[in-house]
Amino acid sequence: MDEKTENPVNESRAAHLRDAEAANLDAIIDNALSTYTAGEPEPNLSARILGAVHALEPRRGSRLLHRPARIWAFAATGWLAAAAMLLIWIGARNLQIVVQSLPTAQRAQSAPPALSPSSTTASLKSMPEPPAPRMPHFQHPVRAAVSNPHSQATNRAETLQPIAFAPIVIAPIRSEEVN
Amino acid sequence: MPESDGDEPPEAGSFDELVERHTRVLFRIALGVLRRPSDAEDAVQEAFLEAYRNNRWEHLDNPRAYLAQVVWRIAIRHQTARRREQELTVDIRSGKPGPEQQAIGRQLDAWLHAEIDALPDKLRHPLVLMAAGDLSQVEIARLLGLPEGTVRRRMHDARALLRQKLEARKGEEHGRKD
Repeated sequence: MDEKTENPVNESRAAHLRDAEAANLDAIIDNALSTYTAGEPEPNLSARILGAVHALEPRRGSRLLHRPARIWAFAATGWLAAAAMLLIWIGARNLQIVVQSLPTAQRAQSAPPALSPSSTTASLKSMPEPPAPRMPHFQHPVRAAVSNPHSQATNRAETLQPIAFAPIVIAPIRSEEVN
Repeated sequence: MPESDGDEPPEAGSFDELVERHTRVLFRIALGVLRRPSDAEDAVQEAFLEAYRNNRWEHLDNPRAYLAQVVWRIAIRHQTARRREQELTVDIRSGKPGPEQQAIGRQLDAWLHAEIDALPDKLRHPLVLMAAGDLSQVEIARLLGLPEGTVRRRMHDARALLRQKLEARKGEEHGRKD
């Protein structure tokens, strides 16, 4: 009887002790964990960090300024290129005006009559029509080609003149009787 | 632009305020990994500088979680580099000196710290992050890039492992007394 009543008491006491022991272990672990990272930073750590950030600031500023400088460099290069193109175009236009203002004889001398439509004429084609009522350059070769129509016609007339052949007279064939 | 002149409180929303508010928790996280206060301070400084350089700190919904992630990553990187150089040494500077009756308990703590150091990283990291405080399980899971359930299970496993070792130690002590 006594043993039967004592056993449950002992079991419950043992379970209670186990629970207490487990709780105690958990508390010890919690305590160890709380002290595991319980160190405190140096009091001047914040000031040190902010000092480092301050030291970073000028470099950061220059970096920010560097971006517009790059953009400005690109823009200046673009403008310079555009200006150079404009100057080249104006120079080419002036050259064309000088060439066009030359007398026709000089132009004929300067330009061979059999001038083919090369790159020079091709570039001139894109130019606006000159104000003077002169013929454009590319018509000169055509004019040179038909510069002497009379001689050409004469030559053609000589070459196409019919040849007068003497009429062929065929005597009648006489047949003699064979005796 | 950070300004820290005199004893004036930092302006709300400024970088100074961010530093003042989160330095301590970041230090504890870094200390949990690196175990050396000087290294932890370096990691915290590096984390703040990185946040400042990235220009993201002004637009963060949860700056604490972001900074915790940054300092954690830096601390792990430092730890990996240091492990290559030398063995890990325990150099914990206790915040406050305890009374004499806690001397034995502190010895036990020191022993447990060594046991925590000896845990595998996958079990130690969630435990340390939780111990550093101020971070929820969701934030820890996000920081470690793990599902929340995995983090919870690892923390449970880590504690179970520590409990086993502690029981074994107590058993040995009782055996010596008897």
